Amino acid sequence: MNRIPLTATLLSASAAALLLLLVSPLPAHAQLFSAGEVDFTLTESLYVDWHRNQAYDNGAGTYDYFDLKSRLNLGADAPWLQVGLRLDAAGFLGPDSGASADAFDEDFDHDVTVEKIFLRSRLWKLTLEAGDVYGCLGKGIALCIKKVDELSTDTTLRGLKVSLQQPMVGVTLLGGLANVVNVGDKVEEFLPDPNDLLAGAEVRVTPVSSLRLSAHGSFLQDARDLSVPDVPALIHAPQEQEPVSYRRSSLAIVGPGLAVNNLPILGSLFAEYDAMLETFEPLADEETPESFVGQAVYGSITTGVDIVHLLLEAKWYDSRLPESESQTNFMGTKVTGPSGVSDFVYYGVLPPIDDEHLFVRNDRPYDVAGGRLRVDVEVSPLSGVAYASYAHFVDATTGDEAMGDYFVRHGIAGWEQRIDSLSISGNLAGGYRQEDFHFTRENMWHLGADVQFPLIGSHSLQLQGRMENYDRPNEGTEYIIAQASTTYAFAPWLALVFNYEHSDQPGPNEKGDFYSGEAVFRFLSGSYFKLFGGSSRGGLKCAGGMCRTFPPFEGVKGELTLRF
Amino acid sequence: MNLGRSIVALSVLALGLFGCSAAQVSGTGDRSDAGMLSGLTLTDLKGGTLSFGDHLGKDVLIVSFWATFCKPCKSEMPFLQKLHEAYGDKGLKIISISLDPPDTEDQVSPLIERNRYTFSVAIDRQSEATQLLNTKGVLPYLLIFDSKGNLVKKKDGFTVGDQPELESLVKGLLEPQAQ
Repeated sequence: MNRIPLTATLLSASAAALLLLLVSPLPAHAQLFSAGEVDFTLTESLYVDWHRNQAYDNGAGTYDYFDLKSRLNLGADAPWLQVGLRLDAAGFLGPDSGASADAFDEDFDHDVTVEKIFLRSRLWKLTLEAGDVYGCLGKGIALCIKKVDELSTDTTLRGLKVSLQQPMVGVTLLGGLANVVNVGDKVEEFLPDPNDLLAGAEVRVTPVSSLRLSAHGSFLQDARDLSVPDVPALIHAPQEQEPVSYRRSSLAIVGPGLAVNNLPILGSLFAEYDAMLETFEPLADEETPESFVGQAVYGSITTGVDIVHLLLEAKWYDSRLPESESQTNFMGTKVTGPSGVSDFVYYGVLPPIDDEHLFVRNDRPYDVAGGRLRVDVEVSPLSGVAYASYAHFVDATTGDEAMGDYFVRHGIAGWEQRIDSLSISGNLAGGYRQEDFHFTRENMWHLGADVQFPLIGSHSLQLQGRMENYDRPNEGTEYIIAQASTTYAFAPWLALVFNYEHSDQPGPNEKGDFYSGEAVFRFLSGSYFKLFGGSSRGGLKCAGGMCRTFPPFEGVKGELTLRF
Repeated sequence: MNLGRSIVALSVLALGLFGCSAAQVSGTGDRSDAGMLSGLTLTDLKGGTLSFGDHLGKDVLIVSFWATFCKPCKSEMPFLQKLHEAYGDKGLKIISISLDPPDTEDQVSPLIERNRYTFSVAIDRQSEATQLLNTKGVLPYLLIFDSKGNLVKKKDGFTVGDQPELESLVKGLLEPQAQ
């Protein structure tokens, strides 16, 4: 593997892009070009990271390396047709000799791939899509393929999608093979496409404007050609921790949904039921196939009376897992790269209904039932909103498999303040979370605040801080995670961010003080250069209902995004 | 996975960048369709139909992508409401599109109601608007179309200091309509 030419090419491309921008008097709102009724667009993001102190897998030492990632999006948009192409490239430059070079070679390999390609057309009320498609059915429990972020979580189905939308009837059909971002910002190494076969369908009927009835179904056929070892399935009661020689072959989910809007007192109501059938095939010839059933129920009510607003959510998950090493009861899969690094890929979403920031996962791999109530009260004289939220979940495992009275509960109270005349806004919130669920016992309180306000003209400041205190009595550990940041912005050109993180959490990568700075320079409509330097703590970061563990980082990151 | 393909890909990238530099085409002239966007319809929070074709090429149109878990997005929304109140009856239409996934979308409506926002809000459940307008899936992300359907502004992120420039741009776009 010759890394120098590749790296030189990547760096040359980056330098060339910067040079071209400097010498080209591009208009403030350029599009690449237009031909008749067709617009052509281009978005290019180039990420250059210098990693300091990358740990060997065996913990024997560290080394430094560069990674370079490119995301090139090309699009053409006409009144009747849209086509798009995303080309990803990744290259790595690390130590050339010694044990660190061997470790580096094992972990990193260059990659270039057509990450996305799609064609979309609209005929009458039909939308036809081919290539990489997204889609969500119902509440997303049965199937939800949606972009979270381009750099790391952007799974698609490489196949077909047909949507019909009429005033009273809507139909969505989609199917294809699962396609993940092969080299993303979370794992930062190559992960193969799982190529699981997925198909889904949803029919929505709207007899009156405030009522929508739906039915959906999805099917997952686990791929058989992954270049990873077979993962035996754990298809028995939790107390029997011996995996048996089965492997999931398929998962099917069907269910109805109901949405009602604008009810006089109840406001809006949503309910969904999902029934699941999962089949396993034996790895040994003498065994026979097995199948299991599971179900999920989710409901929510949102309503408001004058200054009081309520959100009530309830769920019951029976044999549904948010993620699973053995890939059982899990609408998703686990992909493993050539170096052994792995990641979970989600094809569906289980509503976790915890804090609005979802910083702690409350799904557990057992049957759960519970709900959440959030109340917001407008305090008009102060232009503020007081809010409180309480979530409570219990172990819903019954029969011989029941293990005890386990629970998770989380209370939050806060205040949102807006002074629109001065463009000032802020938020102060705190809460307490207690978990006693099978193998996890944890008490945690948290406090957070943020405020942003203008200075003079286009200058503004944002201050933000958060502290979490964890107590794990059965491990005998207690630790603090704290984070503070200050952002100064001179709109629209410049933003400077200073970050500080502190952690007492036991672990080689989690503990310590972490300082970082980031500068964002904007130079065209939608284009910018971002430079990050310093260290950041890795760990679980949750957003949008999905929690992912990011690696700790120390070094320098550069991102150049150009939009045309 | 091999070096040759990497170099080919990067050459394409470099050529693309060179090509866009060479093209330097600005506004797209008098057009009112803006591609497939004019045919895009989303369902608003009340269950009604929100059709881009009803506004594109007719009104000055602001399209704002946001999510309930995105703090800068929530800072942008009072400004959008201010624009809506000031210019909503003067030819400005605001369409706010939530990218919330299904597990947080139930928080969209309460957030809109408790803040008394009155501009149009929809949830992009099938990622259609994202595919058309926000390929990178950035939050917040704002686009402004003039009354001829030309895209005149794309903006990542938001700080309160952005308000004067954006308001000035909107006012400038609305002025020809007022005459």
